[in-house]
Amino acid sequence: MRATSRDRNRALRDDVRPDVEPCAGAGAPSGCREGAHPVSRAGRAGSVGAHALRGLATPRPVWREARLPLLALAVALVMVVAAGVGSVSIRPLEVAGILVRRLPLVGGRIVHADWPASHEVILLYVRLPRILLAAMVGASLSVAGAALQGLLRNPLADPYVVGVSAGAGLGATIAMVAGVPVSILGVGSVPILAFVTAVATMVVVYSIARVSGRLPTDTFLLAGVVVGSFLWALISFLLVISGDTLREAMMWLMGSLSNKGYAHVKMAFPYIAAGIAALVVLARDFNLISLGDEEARHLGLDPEEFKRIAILAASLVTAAAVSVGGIIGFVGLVVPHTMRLILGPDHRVLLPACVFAGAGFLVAADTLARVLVAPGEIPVGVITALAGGPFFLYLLRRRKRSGAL
Amino acid sequence: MQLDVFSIHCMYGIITALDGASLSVSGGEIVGVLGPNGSGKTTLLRAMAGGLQPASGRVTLDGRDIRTMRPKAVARRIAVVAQNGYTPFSFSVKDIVLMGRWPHLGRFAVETQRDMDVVALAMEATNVAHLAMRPITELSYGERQRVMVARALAQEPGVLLLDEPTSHLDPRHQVEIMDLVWGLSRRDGLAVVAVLHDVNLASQYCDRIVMLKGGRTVAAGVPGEVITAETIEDVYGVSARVQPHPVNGRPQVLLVPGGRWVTRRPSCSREEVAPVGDRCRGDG
Repeated sequence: MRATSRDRNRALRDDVRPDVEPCAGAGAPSGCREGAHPVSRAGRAGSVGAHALRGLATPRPVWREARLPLLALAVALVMVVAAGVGSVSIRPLEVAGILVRRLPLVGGRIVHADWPASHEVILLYVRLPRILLAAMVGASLSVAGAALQGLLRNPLADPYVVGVSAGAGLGATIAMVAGVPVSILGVGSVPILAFVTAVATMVVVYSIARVSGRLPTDTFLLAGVVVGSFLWALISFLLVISGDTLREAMMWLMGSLSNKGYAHVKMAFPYIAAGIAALVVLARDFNLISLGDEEARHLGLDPEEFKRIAILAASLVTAAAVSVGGIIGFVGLVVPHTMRLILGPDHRVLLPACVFAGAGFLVAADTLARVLVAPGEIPVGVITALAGGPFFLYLLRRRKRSGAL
Repeated sequence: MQLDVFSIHCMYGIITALDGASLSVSGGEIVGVLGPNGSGKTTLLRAMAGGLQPASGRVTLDGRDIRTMRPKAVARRIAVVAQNGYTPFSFSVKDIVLMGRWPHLGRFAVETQRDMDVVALAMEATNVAHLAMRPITELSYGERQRVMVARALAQEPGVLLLDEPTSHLDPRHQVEIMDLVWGLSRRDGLAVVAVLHDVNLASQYCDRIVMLKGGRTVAAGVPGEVITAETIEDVYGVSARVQPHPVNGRPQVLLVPGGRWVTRRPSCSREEVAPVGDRCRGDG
């Protein structure tokens, strides 16, 4: 197949070149044969070129078409298994049964409850909110990381380069140190203040980096890093003078999903859902912008307008994720790179893949975080770095010969 | 399609890049833009593509001011092959060329068979079809350049703007790219503007040539009028002889080594002037 199509291509080339070369060489345009537009020919049904090349345009193995659904299925499996793991062990089938029974209208008719009521309570009110939160946070950080890497054309970018994490950290630290006793709809002051300062930081970084209506990529990166460092210094200062909240604050800063409930899920969900939806819808634009602002502009994309929307969406998603999950490192860097190495750089596949893979990865990591030293807890950020690092290095070594990202 | 530039001025901060340059190109014609480094060639091209707002003057496409058109609408009519189309991500050649269809697609549209056919034929025309699945990061410069032309063709433009399409290419690939461009303008009626460094190549392929110096148009017309020893010396500051090409009679520039710069060096006397690159004898 490959050989024949190549031969045909060559035949076509030989067919095309002679009417160009002699004319150009002779500099005598009038003698040239009229021919078809090599591109507009495509419109005509049955033309030689279109026919010969149809094979080239569409050969794709089946698994390539099914990779996103397969990934989603794998993530669902991880979540079901993770929900069964813990001090009380619940079989995966039982987990599935409990969940299906909760489906409106049809749930009760499909499965009958043959499990202890305590299992249902543990699953629905203790483990499920935490798993949902882990999935949301993982998906957010991964997709924001992939988006910012593409947007900034920088493989080192992650959701935190914008300074949003440091902003959230400052808000959370202030809430913990000052012991602000506010609570809105069941969510304590820490996530709320973290979210507010994170969004404020994003606005500050964006305004600093903006030069006469344009947002130069390098300036934006630098502004994010510098503002981030400044805020981290403030956090350190607050921690040093506070003393007794140090341990609690450190757990938060390293990223932890313990002691969270549906209130946190509800708080973060609107921002995360809207932000992820926006990023995924913009996937094709991300492909263009990853060629550079100038190139994107030539292809019809207004780079400044796009950057404004994309940075807003990515930062909002990150702010929401960090305010409920703390600063969980590595997910936003490693998951996008891993997906890019496996699936390629096309954002139309990459961004949705990061949503699924990030969710699955963080659910798995958080499960380890809560069972490894039970009844204690390891900050999930420690697990992500310990597990993600070596795996990523392995992938990097394997793909090193290609020299590309 | 007709693209006109009416005496535009462009500034980068306080630096004037274009100081009243004019140019017009219509379908089926190749206009070459020549000039030394920093004479505003690339700026002119960017302004023509609508990527840069001129401080004064107008760019019109078929009589319509390009500033009143949305970028996407411009990209359906004008395609640009810029320099340094670099991405760190290993998109496949086909993915890159497919991006040329972006201005034709709605936000939620999926590529149709026709889009795929346009892409396939664009790759065919530029001789990159056999590279379709290769990552762009692994290609040679010449191959990459042809991929960029393929992407521009996938836009199905009426106007093609090329920024030094042949720099870094060997003679064979230079001729290949220029033959392709020539065919596109002649057979398919594309209006082509090409910024070129190679005066002789420009003379061979361009119907008209615009010479820029310091952001101004200093000469414009058919190659036979513009490419003379005087303009070359004036614009580039080098001594040159101009001879007709033995096959087609188009003017060809032969540089005269030394002439202007080497003789200025105090250690060299006139008789000692050697070809450029050689040191003069007094130099140790």
